Amino acid sequence: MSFFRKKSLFILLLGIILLVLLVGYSLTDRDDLTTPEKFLMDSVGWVQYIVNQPITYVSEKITDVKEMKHTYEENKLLREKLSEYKTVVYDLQEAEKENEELQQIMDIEESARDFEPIVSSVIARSPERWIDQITINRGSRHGVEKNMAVMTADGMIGKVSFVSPSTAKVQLITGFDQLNRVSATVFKKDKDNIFGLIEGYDTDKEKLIFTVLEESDIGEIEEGDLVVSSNLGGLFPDGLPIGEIEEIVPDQYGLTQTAYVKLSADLFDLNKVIVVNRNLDDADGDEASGEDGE
Amino acid sequence: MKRLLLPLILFILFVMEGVAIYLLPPSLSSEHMLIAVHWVFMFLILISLLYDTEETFFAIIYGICFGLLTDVVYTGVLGVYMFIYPMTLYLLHIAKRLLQTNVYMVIIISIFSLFVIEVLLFFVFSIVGTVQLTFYNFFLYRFIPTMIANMIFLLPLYGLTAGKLRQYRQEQLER
Repeated sequence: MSFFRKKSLFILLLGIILLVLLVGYSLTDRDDLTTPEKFLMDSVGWVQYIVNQPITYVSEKITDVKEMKHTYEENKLLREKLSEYKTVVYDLQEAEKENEELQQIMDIEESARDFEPIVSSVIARSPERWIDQITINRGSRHGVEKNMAVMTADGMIGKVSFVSPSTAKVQLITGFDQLNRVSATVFKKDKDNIFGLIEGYDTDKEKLIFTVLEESDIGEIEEGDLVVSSNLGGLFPDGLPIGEIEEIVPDQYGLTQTAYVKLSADLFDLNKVIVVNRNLDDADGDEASGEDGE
Repeated sequence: MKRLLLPLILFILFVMEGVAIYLLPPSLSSEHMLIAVHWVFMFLILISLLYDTEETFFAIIYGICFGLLTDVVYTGVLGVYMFIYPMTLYLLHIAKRLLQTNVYMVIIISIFSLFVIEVLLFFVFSIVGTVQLTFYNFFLYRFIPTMIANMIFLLPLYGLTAGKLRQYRQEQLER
């Protein structure tokens, strides 16, 4: 019996050492997953994709029925808006043409706004709610790379954290920490744009925390202003909508102010997402994403 | 075939965990309540209590395998589930000798085991730095909703599988 106790104590200690080693290893800033991990992710991803099909189908049907109730009023509203848009479309076309001409004159080939979309569907969401992470069914074979921005039609939701050949993990923007700040811009119509950073996520308020870079003046931010991603950080393209400013509060010393941003995308209704592929000159990524974009 | 049946059920539960959040009503999956599903672990508890004999350690072995799978596929932090699942199941294995296995005991044991793994996860992820919550908030917003959600899942699972698991154990003993 005492031999058995010794043995189990030994195994327990071995387990703790293994735990510390593995946790330490996986938290280091590694760029790539190991081959066994990729293999596991891909093979499980394949099953997840199959299981996900009927579930998405049913949940889509349920939403359809729910939305049917509001169709009439929505239709009326949309028709009114549509007539407004006609003039806007004309203006936009003119502006785009002008922009193109100006770019040609300036010799700029691609702007920070250009990107190649990789459309993919969400196949799983982590059941461990402390790790806000989803798995999508597009991987390195399709041109997805680490650190690419991920968005829905409503706005940015996160970035790619790990890639395997045919799946990828996306870290949601609510799970970003100090090391993963997003450079963002508050869009102002008449004045200069205000630059800042999305610092993290406030779980109590359920809003993103936005701080302003020193050069800009936070006093100009108003509630309801639109926050979009900015190219300054080097990771994300310009102009992906992130959210709206909802609240501005002074920080605890009263020297600076913090703005709280309400996300424009609904993180609990993720079905189809778009991976933003910025490497336009990369021939490989171009080909693969071109196929999926259709 | 029977040998493959239990891992197969565990694997299906494991895959279902990934879409569990979409099966919940949207009002429940809001940010304030953090419902984590541990369906694989619920079934492992049943295996440990109803299928494993004193000498077999199936639940613990499956615990290591599916803990590792959870780590790789769902969290990306290796080793956490892989260590916590088998450890809790080992404690269960020791405690099992003193306990009866009727439905009430199974519920109480499951709640207790769930509490153990949730607290362990809370500590590990706090040390790692992904969680910044006080223990009180953890208990209120995470543990209680999680416990209720998993118990709602455990009861039908017990009803469906308990008889079969007991029968398989009997066959194991007779062999």
